[in-house]
Amino acid sequence: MTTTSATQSAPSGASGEDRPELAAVGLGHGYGDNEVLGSIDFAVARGEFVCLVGPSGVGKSTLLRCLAGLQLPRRGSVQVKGVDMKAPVWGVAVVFQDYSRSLMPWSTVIDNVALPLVAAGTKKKDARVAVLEALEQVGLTRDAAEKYPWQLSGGMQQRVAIARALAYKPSVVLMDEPFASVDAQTRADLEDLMRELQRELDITVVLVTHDIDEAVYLSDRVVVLSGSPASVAEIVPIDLPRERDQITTKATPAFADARARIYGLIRRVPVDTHE
Amino acid sequence: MIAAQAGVLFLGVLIWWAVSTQVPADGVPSPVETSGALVALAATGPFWLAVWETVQTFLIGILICIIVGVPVGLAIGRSRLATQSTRLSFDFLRTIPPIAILPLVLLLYGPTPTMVLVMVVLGAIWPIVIQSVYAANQTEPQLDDMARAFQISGWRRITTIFIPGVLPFVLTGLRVGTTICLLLTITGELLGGAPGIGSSIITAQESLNNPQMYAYVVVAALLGLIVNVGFWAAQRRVLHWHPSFRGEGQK
Repeated sequence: MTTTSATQSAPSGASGEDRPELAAVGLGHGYGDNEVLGSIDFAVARGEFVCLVGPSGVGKSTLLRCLAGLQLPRRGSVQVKGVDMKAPVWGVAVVFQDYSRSLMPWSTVIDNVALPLVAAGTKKKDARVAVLEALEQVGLTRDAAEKYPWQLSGGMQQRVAIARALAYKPSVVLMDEPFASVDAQTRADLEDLMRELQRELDITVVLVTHDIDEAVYLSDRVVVLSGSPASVAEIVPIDLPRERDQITTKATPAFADARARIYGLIRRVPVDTHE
Repeated sequence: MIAAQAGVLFLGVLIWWAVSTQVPADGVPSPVETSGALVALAATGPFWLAVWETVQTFLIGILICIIVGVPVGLAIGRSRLATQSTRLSFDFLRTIPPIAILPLVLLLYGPTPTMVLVMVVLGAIWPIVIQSVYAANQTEPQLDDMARAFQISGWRRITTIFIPGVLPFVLTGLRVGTTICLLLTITGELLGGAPGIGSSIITAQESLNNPQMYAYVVVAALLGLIVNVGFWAAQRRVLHWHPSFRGEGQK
């Protein structure tokens, strides 16, 4: 009796700390007869940056939608801090691939970013403070805040989408190929921004990408998906320092090793770099 | 742009004037005669009463079309099954010329504004319903995902995401519907004999007062112009963010 109440009243105790921030447990999904995801198992610890990679069509986006609670998996479950997720939950924010379609063109940047907060009942004044803070974190000026999304460049629009996620004060941010439709320089800037924010705000990031270099550069660990229906081929730990740099980090042997290994896993070509 | 429009208008009046000199006497009054008649008419009570009858029927008609047509269209458009199962019926109903039901409504309501109203609504509601169905079909799925992921629901989701998203299509339907509504109001009055600009045209014709008849025709055209220009301005204000209007407001 006493033991039960003790564990219930202290979910943040020792056992709570051990629980992963986000986990896929035997997760499977499909559309009609087409099984997309076989049985996916992986767990993301608090403050971790994890990328999901795999060949195109492997079901990365489907998996991310399940993780976001936008889709209920056919089998298994998604757990947030050990609790089964049945629908989108507060604390898990999503950055969608296509910023031009996930931002409302009829609202200003500030209103776009504020909407989730206002919908959650935050007072207008408090929401404005949180929004301006989030916009500053992603490097957008006050001037940009008053504009409409379509008046901004693609890279800036994706910053707005990131700010919207951050203003929500999430513990987990899920990103679906967020940098796929911006130019290379902007992409590098946004990658560095995300790493910086992830450490600064102590958030957990799960990012889907088809770009192996991007996955290695960003991640603490890379979850490699392959096969049909897809399963986790391997979870590759990335042995790179926390401080990373677009040029020097990508020139290190550790970076090249990780890239070759993941490339091999996706192509199903055995690569014996560590044998 | 405005100069070009004025130029074309002037050319039109010139052609009208040229025609009026060629046809037998009194067939087509000249622009000068017509404007003279219009000025004389504008000083009379019956003229303004006729204009008011037409405007009133038109406004009530378009209001009914909007209040009924838009929500019905949007509700149908939200459901795939409803969209597909109603498509055939709508295509059937909208191809019936509204004039074809004139004998029926005339029999039911006599030459009254109600008769015109029924005909107007039955004729003008279809483009509004059909465009609203399209509008609700074509909402952005990424915004739906966004709303769900950030738990924006209920009334707030409807007012901040759904309504602005369907507005471009709905307004296109309203624009078409508004024009049809005005045309049918005047046609109904003209053919059915209900009071208004339409029946005044007939009365003037029957009393062989051609300049006055043309004056009423000009008034009907002016009314159409006002409605269209007003609608265009309103649409540009409401949809300032839409790709088709972007940049116009911020020169």
